[in-house]
Amino acid sequence: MKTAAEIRDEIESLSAIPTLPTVLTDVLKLIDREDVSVNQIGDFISEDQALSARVLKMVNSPIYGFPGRISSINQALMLIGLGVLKGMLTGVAIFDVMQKTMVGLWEHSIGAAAAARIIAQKAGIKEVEEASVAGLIHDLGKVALGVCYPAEFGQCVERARAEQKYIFDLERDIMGVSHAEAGSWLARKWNFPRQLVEAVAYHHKPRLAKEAKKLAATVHLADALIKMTGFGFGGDPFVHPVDEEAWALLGLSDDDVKDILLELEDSISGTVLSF
Amino acid sequence: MKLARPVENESGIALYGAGMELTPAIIERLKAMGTEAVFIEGAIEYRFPKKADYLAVVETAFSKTGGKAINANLRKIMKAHVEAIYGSR
Ligand SMILES: [Fe+2]
Ligand SMILES: [Fe+2]
Repeated sequence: MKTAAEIRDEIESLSAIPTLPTVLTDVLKLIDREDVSVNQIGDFISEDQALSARVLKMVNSPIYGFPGRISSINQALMLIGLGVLKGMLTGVAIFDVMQKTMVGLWEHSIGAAAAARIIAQKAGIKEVEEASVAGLIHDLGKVALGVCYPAEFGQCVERARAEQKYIFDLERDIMGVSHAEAGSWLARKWNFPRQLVEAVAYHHKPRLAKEAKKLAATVHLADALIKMTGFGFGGDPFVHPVDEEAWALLGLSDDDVKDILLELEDSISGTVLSF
Repeated sequence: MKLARPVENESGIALYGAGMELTPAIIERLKAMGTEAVFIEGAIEYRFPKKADYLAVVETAFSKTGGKAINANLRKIMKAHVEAIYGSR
């Protein structure tokens, strides 16, 4: 078995293989430059028809809460901010590879994005868009593991199904690392905002988060809620034990959860996603 | 097929109200406006035709953790939620 350090090296070098369209890597680099204005970044994205169409489709979907209202990339940028855009671009760009990695993983991810947004609103978290994007990319590590180690990850998927186990546990048994770690390595390597890196890293163990405890707690609960609804598939259908600290931190009442479920139901099923 | 929520323009003004029937002509108009998605009424039926199917999903989801306090509570709320959305029709 490879060591965790070896696996980390191989996952971090994912940026070098053509998993992501070059335009995305270019935009991510551009976002990191301090001498570039938000408008310049917007213009750059707008030049790429395919990418901007996907971004607009995403922000206009019910997942983000403002269906049909955002018509330009610059308007989207103002609403969601650069750091969040980065996560969203990644989510949008890995859409294809996500679908190849695991049937249902994309739906699981956008469902978690919707759940995280709604939870954040209820829990009074200001960074609603950040929560949404954290939900969108929380299982990024499954893509990383699936791309880097198709045989081993395939074994995790297969055994999770046959033995009715959590895929998280099998990743650790079979590969020695989990998708939470793998995803956070990639997110850090790609210079995602630290809050997002933490949310990905600790979505299964939110109490270990340092700076992004609330965000990690939000994604942790979002992951549980979306599994309850049976929308999409993230490797196993089982809700994890919800962390007590995370639960307390969000301070949601039973009525809040009821409202969240209703709104989530709307977001995932009450839609005609594309005309 | 009816709208479950209003469709608003960029300034937040409602163009089509909730309950509006989505005719092919209106769908065309929405498309022309660049709208990608709308909320529709009763769409839950497209995910799970029967309440029992949805409840079975919930049972599976909680099959490992239903005994833990927070999860037991979530399961209870979730089951009431499923009962409520199917019960209303
Ligand atoms: Fe996960
Ligand atoms: Fe997940």
